[in-house]
Amino acid sequence: MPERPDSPIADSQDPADYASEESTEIVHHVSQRKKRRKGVGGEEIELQLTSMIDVIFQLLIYFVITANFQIDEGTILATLPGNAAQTDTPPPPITPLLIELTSSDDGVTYTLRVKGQQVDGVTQLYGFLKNRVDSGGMAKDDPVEIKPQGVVRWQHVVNVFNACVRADLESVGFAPS
Amino acid sequence: MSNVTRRGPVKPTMNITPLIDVVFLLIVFFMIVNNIVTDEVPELQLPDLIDPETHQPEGESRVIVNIIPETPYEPSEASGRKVGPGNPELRVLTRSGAVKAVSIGKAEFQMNDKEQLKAFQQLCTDTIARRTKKGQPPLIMLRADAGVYYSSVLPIMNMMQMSMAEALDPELAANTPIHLVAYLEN
Repeated sequence: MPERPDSPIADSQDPADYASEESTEIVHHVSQRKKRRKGVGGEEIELQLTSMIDVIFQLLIYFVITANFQIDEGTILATLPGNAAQTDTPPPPITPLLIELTSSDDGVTYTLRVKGQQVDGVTQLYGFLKNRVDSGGMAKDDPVEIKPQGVVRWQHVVNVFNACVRADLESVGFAPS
Repeated sequence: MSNVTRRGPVKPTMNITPLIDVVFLLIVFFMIVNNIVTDEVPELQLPDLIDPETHQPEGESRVIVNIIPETPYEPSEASGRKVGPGNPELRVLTRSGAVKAVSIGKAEFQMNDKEQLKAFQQLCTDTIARRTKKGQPPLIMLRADAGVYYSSVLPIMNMMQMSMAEALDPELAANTPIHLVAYLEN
């Protein structure tokens, strides 16, 4: 029966040969950690992160540039036209102070009238209302109605509303059309 | 100090793991913020008030109605984003004051279509009713472009008012204010 070359019997060599090999090649113990760090050929395995970081930075720059943060927005509480009509509450006994807004032809400027009397602008309107409230000529909860012409810009309407709120008036609303 | 040890020369390496962590977090942040801003509020040029009495509204539940002008928002046309008396840029007041559409959340309704306006009112009613929790109505906010005509805003306000009357108790509807949105400060 022929012997297989890989069988233990085939390896039967002279013990002297082993001795000579051991003397020429010293085998060191290699730890598991080192084995893991080194590949088959003894090269260190490293993760190539450079290209990934490149892409990530490109993405970051894109999002930073395209990010569009809103300017801070605030609100003013408003009563809508005809809100009182929805309930059974009777109309206020006091005639509301009427503030009329009419637009000029260009749409940029506008005219303000309080009880038919022309007021120069929002700042003067504030001064007028504040004076009346402080002097007792008008209570804080007296009704005020803003009646803008249809072509008046929303910018002006809200500005007039804001002036009334600044003057500590608590019952400011829009006149129904 | 020498870089040579008993084991041999030390290879200097940079630990970039925390850097990547931070950069990833930044990317996620900007992605999320971008989407929120786009979804919730369309870009409008809001009223820029003289000495504004505006305040940051409190409350998580909100119904925001946006009134979008016919002339689209063009940030490049203005030197700054704010317009009005607080800023010399007045172009927003010289462009068309007509309204193109009204929107709640992502839903947009054309102003010149009566059927769409009915649908808007229905959605407004449903949204207010849905977001009213334990008798506490949501914050109802009106964001209108500074340049639109009052005659275009008025019908929307009337529809909002009718929606509030339908969705809420009469007394609650009468006492629920509308929050007019403007820039917080000049």
